[in-house]
Amino acid sequence: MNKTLKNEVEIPSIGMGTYPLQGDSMIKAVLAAVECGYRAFDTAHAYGNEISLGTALQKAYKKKGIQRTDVFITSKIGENLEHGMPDCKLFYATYPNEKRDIKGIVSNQLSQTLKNLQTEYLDLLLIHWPHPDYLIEIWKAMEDEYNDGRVKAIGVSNCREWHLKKIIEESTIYPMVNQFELHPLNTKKELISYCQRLNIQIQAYSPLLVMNPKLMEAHILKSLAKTYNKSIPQIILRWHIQQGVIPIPKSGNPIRLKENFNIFDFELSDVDMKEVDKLNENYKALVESRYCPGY
Amino acid sequence: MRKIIKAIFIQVFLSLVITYIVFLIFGSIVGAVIILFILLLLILIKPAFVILNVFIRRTNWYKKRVSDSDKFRKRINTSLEICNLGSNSGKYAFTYEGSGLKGENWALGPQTLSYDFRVLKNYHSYLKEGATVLIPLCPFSSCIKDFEDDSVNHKYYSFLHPILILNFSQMTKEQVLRFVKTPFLVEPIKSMIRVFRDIVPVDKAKMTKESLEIDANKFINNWKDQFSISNLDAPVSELNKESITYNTILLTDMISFCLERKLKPVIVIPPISTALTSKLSETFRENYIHSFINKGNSKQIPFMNYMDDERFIAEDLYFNSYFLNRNGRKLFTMRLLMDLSLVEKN
Repeated sequence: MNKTLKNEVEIPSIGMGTYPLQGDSMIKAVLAAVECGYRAFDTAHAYGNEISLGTALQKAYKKKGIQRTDVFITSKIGENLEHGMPDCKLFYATYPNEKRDIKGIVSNQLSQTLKNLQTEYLDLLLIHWPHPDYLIEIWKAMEDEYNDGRVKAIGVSNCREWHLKKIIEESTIYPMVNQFELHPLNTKKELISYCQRLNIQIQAYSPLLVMNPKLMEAHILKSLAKTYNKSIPQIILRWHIQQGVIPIPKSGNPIRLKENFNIFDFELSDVDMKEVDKLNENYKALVESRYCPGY
Repeated sequence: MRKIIKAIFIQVFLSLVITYIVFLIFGSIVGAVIILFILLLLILIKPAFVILNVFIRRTNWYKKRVSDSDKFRKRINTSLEICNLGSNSGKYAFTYEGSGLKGENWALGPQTLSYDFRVLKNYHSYLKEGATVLIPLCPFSSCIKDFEDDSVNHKYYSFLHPILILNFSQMTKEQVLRFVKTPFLVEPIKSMIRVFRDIVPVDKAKMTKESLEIDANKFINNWKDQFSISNLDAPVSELNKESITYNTILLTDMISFCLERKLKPVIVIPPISTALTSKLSETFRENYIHSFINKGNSKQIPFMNYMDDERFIAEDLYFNSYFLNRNGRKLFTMRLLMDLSLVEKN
């Protein structure tokens, strides 16, 4: 059930997305997830829910008989959100800040994240968005954190080929993970094969496209669900797994959490995988350049 | 609408009840009537305001102020196959209606090359991989740096990320958004006047040879004034040289930005009436247009120049000496798309 990153760190094959869970609903969801077997949890500085996840995990350690070393925690370095959009005040050269110190920002944000999550280390730290002005500086600061041991693995999120090329050209450590929007309506085949060629593990956020009716009503998925006697979300998540992708679906509902996790007892045929691929229409739930100008 | 009507009925009913109670307590019919009048007035203010707002939003005056940015606020299209940037010359040069291509005109009038790039930076993810990005240039594109009047940039507040807006101010943003939503609250007198006396849309004017000539002279004189040029054939001033260098770097960066993202940039000079092009000498063109494009286009992307194209000399294709009218832009866009092999030739 685990995969291995290029630095030999093990990462669970499926994770739990946590945005926008908070407070009690986070605690209930995390406890239910741990009960189901989830061991990977994904959050971000920008989600504003690290404290809730930290509290929920502490409860899980006490109540569910697991330890810190049993779970895989991911967080992301990034801008603060303002009305749901990154405010771009930290990592944009055009936002006035004469004393901008990227290494300091990354280090402080990570310290805050570790404090919020009540842990001494992170399993995976990602750059939330490839902010164009300081992408390399942020990455180098993350390399330092990796070398210092506060994070076990480092990677990126929302990166396309041109961002990865830049990082690879100018850095000593290659990204170990790239997390981006991926689902049957946006299959990003070229990016997947680019990442896989470089041994960059892919994580899919919005793997079920928030149960978008456009996807959930797709004839082929309905038909496959019937054939394999599984639900449509299970078919989609299995499609991710068989491509070597780690899906991180979010749910606060214990029944759905369980359903999403039970995808390791069947296999889609090559023909069925290709049929699902055909749903691609490059649909974007999140249009990147709106969130990250100059993306 | 049904909800509003239902709410009004409930409020009117409650007002009648309150009035009756007032009458029972104080026994004064006049007092009760005054109370009822005030309550009804309060109830009707909101719907009256909503209706008024609908009328204001229908005026050409309102549309002119916000319609350029409407296309960004109300957008739902992704995987676009083509878009164009640009100032007014781009705004009036392109329409993808009937072309069979999924395209959008992202030009705003007036717009600098710097803001072309900002719009592209904010919206390029709406384009599909391999999409064409038209970069329209006009005779003085190389000379415009940033507008001194900051209010020219207010149109960006409703759709660009704040980090991309020069001298961004939160207060201005709130004011701009308030105007977009409720123009009556921001400019009550102007908007009331425009409901009864609207402006005529600019691109409807019909041109003759004579009117084009008069208009062309106006454009030339305005440009001379704007860029402090007494003689168009004279060597470029230091100030304009500085702007040309600035825009050359911008053009190079824009092209690299597109290529890096697997987009296909194309530089285009749209058609201009003969009345106007005849006033732009070879020396002027070399100093202000060709040398700028040659330097900025070091990556050798396609450059499509229709400035003197004989297929677009008819007066009825223009609404002034500089910009194409609806028919003109339809004809020109199709021609360009054919020349770029994006649609099949007839």
